[in-house]
Order: sequence, then structure tokens, then C-alpha cells
Amino acid sequence: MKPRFIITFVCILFSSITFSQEYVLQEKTTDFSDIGKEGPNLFKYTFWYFNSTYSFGDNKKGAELSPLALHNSNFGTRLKLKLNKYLAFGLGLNFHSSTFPIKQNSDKIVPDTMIYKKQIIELRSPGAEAFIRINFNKRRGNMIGTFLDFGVLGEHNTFSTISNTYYKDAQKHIEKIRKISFIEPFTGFAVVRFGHNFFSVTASYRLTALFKPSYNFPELPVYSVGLELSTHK
Amino acid sequence: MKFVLKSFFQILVFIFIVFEVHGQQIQKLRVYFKDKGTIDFNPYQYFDPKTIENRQKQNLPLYDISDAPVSRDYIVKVNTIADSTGFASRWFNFIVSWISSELQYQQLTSLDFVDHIEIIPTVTVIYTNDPGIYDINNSNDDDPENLMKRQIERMGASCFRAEGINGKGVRIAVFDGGFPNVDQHEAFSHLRNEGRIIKTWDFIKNKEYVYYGNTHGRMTLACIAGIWKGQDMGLATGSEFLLAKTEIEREPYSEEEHWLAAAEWADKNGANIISSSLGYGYNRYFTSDMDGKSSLVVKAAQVAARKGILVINSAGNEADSKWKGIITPSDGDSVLAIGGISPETDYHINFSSFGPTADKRLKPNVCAFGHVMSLSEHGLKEADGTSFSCPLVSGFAACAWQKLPDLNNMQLFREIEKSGDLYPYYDYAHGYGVPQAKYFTQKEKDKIERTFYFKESENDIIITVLPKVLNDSNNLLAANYMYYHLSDSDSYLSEFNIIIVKQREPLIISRKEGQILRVFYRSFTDEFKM
Repeated sequence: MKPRFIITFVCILFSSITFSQEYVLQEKTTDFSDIGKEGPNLFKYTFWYFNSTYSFGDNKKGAELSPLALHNSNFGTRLKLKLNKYLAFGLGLNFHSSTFPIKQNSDKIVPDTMIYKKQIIELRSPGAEAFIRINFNKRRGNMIGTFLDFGVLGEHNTFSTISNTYYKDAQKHIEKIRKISFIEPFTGFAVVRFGHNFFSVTASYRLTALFKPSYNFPELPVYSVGLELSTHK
Repeated sequence: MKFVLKSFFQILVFIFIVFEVHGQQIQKLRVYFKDKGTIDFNPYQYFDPKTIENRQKQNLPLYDISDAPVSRDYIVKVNTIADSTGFASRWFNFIVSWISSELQYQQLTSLDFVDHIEIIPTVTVIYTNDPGIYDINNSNDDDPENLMKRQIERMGASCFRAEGINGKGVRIAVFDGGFPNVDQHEAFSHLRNEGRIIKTWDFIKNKEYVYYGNTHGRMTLACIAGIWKGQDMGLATGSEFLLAKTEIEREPYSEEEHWLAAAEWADKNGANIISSSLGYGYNRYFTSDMDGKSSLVVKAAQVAARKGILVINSAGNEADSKWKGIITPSDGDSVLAIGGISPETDYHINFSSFGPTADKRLKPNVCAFGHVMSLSEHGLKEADGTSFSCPLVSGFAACAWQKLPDLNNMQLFREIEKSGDLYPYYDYAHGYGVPQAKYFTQKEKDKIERTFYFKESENDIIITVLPKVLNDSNNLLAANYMYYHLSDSDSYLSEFNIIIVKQREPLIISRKEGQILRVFYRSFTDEFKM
């Protein structure tokens, strides 16, 4: 290494030592005095949620369901935009998984007339939601507090499957039928939630038919009620 | 479509049933009255003689309307409508009531003496203060009694003690979550034996007994007046005490009412100082509410100050949380907010809440150790929190007031600020620094010598330390701290810093038009207008 490079290096090192400032406390007031716009009760707030609901309603002849195995689960994210102390508007994206176990009796016509040990229609549907939130606690700081949501949810039944379980030669077989033609591609729901902080009771009503009219199938239950947990306090 | 509507209606009914169940819960209200009705108020009968003495000494009126109790007639009438009633505030002229129907609400509203009604959320949340208490067995400090000594000596305890000052004659009301074992603990035997626990009240259960509940109260009281094996833990070992249990882990809004009730009780019973290591923030307020006007508890603290009481409150332990700032009632302009410093580093302890208030006033006002030696059930315990800085300063304030009894509460407030070891320098972590007893005891003030000067270059300001100061071998780490801040013309700081001085020119600051650079180094403060 040439001597002039060594001298330069030593000079740089020396200058950095000479002018170094050892901070033990370094605070900018804006780092903690600006309230910002994002927070549970500030202008915008994004959170994740999961809910599990139970479908119920008229069990129509030809499409009766085995009640105990019937369920929906849903996870997603929501963006809440504060309008005022009492009102907020929200948008959400979700992924909905519905399971409809069809009771195997001689009357059944959905999705076919065959009798299996077990037959389940499964829907996997990404969706989008818009809702209005009414808040009940005026003074709730950074806690979400008590709220009532009214919303609409649209889903695309992207993945639909019929799962048939049967026994042949004492052996269990599971047959999966994908891309079911009689399912409507889009489903709409009206949604209501009543909650406090991270916990809520959620209910929905399916506004649109699940099956295409040309198949003349009786409809599956349209209501669902369940519980929802969110990732915030 | 008819079916759809019918079904949707059924769902709504279901949801509203759920809502109604919630709605049918008993609703809590504050019913505010227009006036005090027929006033039959004799302050000499109503107040403790000590209150009368305090008011007269500070030239405060004895017949102020806010001192008269809430009208009995009004209370009786509200009682006939509401399911039950609770605390009645003479300062704010309201009564807490519980109702369970809309009809009761309307009936209350229609009373001609009712000014307005405030609906109080009855949300129950679990709110915990984490004082970060841990046992002496886990202590990192090799000599616990050394820390105990340092926590008061940092404020110059020996200057007060040399003059026999121990807070005698000053009455301190301590608000906390309970005082377990204070009626038996040997560290408080001097208070019990001399009858200096004047009164106690549990505002949760409305009874006299307060020697149970959260150990936090015992630990804060220890930092004001405890004596452990002959050694003082706080400075006001000669003061008198009023002990109020105001905290409950659920029903947070009630805690603020209890604080108000305790403040009125303290005023009635002659308190000179309120020492409150309590505060409320994230769970119920925004930082924008920390403006000294928004919370009930800060309004209560401000009225207490108007009644001549020096209100001292912890700044909060939020600096390392999302909240970061002070918690109410520290935001009150008449509340002496106390920040915390570390005994190891002698500057801001990592959790101590930062100021300013939402309306840009300086907070905390002063600071003290945020890591202390306090009391366990039978022995010593280390503890972290501005909860303990506050009682240390409360003890200090009692001594200062004993020394200068002619000061009123706000004059004492300003004098305590001026006694801060950083004064006139300040920042949002330390306020004016740690109050110093010698400010009150020393007749002639120390002559403060210049330790640095400003040198200007075209773009920078260079702070240059005087050679004799740099060569002065002071092994104390804190002696080498240089504090500096940048402020606007309204004294609002945009940044504040501490550096360690190791060379003659330890600091070079780029010029920022309109900003004021203030620097503190070894007791000397100077400023440079850019």
C-alpha cells in the first residue's frame, strides 16, 4: 500500500474520532407528539379477523343438511375509516370457506340422487365487503369499544367441490368432484355484527341464490350466525 | 323478495335482542345541577381546621360556592327517580346515578334544577398499571441501602436534614390502589405511633379501612415517609398523611371519579399536597386529550390546585410504549408532573413518559429517581416507575413548604421547578431536572461559572468547552453530560439531546433559521439565537 493512502486513511479515521458526538439521549419531539392518522379510533385502522359461523334456516326437501357438520369459517382483513365519533365506514377482503353436508335420504336431489355414506358441498370463496360501523362509546380512547356493523359482502365461488364418501369392498373411498357447474359464480350477503373490542357476534343473510336456476335445485340455508375475533384489543 | 326482507328482518331482530340485552344494563350517569339550591354552608363546621388554616394562609376564600356541598334536596329528588346514586361532587356540582330505563333518563332531564346529564360508558376493561416491581432477591444492586440513600440524597436530603427539616406540619394526601400492611409495617411505625395517619378512606367500598389491595400504595408511601432500620426512604418522614384508596382494576371511569372524590376529601381534611402515582392514557384517551382540559381527573386536579393544594403526579411509564407521552392528570398546568431518571446513568430512564402536553406546555416539570428502593411486606424491594419518582418529589415538596411556609401552592410549584439542577434549561424528558434542597436552604446561591461558549462559522454553531473545565477531573459520568435542545420562539422544543463531552468542541450544530439553541453543561446554561 502506498504511503499516501495510509496517511489519507489515518487522517479520515482521526477526523471521525475528533468530531464524533456520543449521544446518550436523542429525541425529536415529533416522534412522540404527532398523533398520526392510524389507530383503533383514529382516521384509519387496518386489522385482521377470523370468524366461525353456523348456517341455519329452512331445511328444504331434496337439499336437507346434516346439522352438526354444517359450518363456515372466514378470515380476512378490514380497513376502518372514521367518519366521526360515532360513525365509521369500512372495506374488507376475506376468504370464506363453507361446508354443506347433504343429508343422504331418498328425497335428496342436491347435488344428485345417489346415496353416499357422506356427501359434502364445499365452497372456497374470496370476497370483498363494505360496511358502516356505529360506535356506542363516545370516550373510548384507543380501544375499539362497542359497535354495530351493517354491511354487504360479495364473494366469488372460485373453488367448489363435491366430496362423496362411500364404501366399496369394505374399503373407504373419497371421490372429489371439482368445477361444479350448478353453483352460481357470485354470492351476495347482508352482514350484521355486534361487538365489543376484539370480540363480536356476527350474522349474515345470503341475498342471492347459490344454485343456477336452470337446475331447479332447492336452496340451501341462507342464515348464519357465529362469533368473530379480531386482532386488535 | 318478500321472503328476503322477512329473513333479513329476523336477523336484525336477533341482533337487536343482543343489543338490547346490552342496552338494558344499568346505565351510569353524571347528573349536573344548575346551582347548589338553598345553601346552608358553614366552612368552620364543614372543613378540618387544617383546611381553614391552609386557606387563610394562602388568602383563599372560605365561602367559595364550589366548597358548598351538593344540595340535599336535589340528591333526594334524583334518588327517587334513579335506581341508585353515588358520589356527589361539590366542586363540579354533580351526582353519580344509575338508571335502567329511558323513562328515568327523561324524568331526570325534566327536573328543573338539572343542568345537563352526562352518560358514562360502563365498559369494563382490565386496566393494569405495571409498576415493574420485582423482589430484592432479583436485585442487581449490591447494596440496597445505598440505593435507598441515593434516592433522597440525589435531591440533597442532607441539606434539609442539616436544618432539621422533615416535612413537619405539612399534610400529604396519598392516592393509590391500597396500602396493605401500612398499619403494621415497621417502616411506618413512626407515623402510627405519633398519630400522623390522620384519616383514611376507601373510595371503592366507602369504608375507612385501606390497609389492603394493591401493594403499590405501600411502596409509594415508603418513598415519601418510610424509615427502614433508621434510614429514611423519603424526605417527608415528619409529615401527616391522608390515605385514599381510589384505584380499582375494572371500571376505569370510576377511578377518575374516585380520584375527584378523594381530592375533595383531601381538601376537606386539610391536605397541603396530593401525591398521586396514578394516571390514565391509552385505554381511554388520545394523546390529543392530554391538554389539561379534557379528562375529569385533570379538571379535578386543577380545582384542587385552585383550593391551594400542591398536586404532584407521576408523568407516566409510557415512553417505551405506543403512547410515549404523559398521562392525565399530569397534563394539568397546575399539576407538578414528575419524570424519572435512572440511578445508574443519571438521565432519563427508558420508560418515563415524555412531554410536552398536547397544547405544547412543558412536561414533566421536574424529575427524580425512577428506580428506587421501596418496601415489600416485611423487607425491602426495588421498584421501577415514575410512580416512585412522584412520591420522592412529594416528600421534597413537603420539606420545601416547611422551610418556606409563606409560599402558596403555585409559588412553591415554581420554586420547585427553579430548584431543578438543570434550571433554567429544560427538556421534555427531565423538565428542569432533579429538584435540589440547597436551593431552599442555602442563603447565598452558588455562583455559576461559564463552562462553554458558542463559536460561529458560516453554516454551523460550534460549542467550545473552556479548557479549565475540560481539565477539571470530575469522575462523575453525569458531570460530563452536555444537554442541548432546539426550540422555537415560543419555547417549544423540536429536539432535545444529551451528549458526553470528551473533547473541547463536542458539538457542532447546523444553523436553522429562527431556532434557539440552548445548551446546559456543568450547571451553566446559555442560548444562541440562530
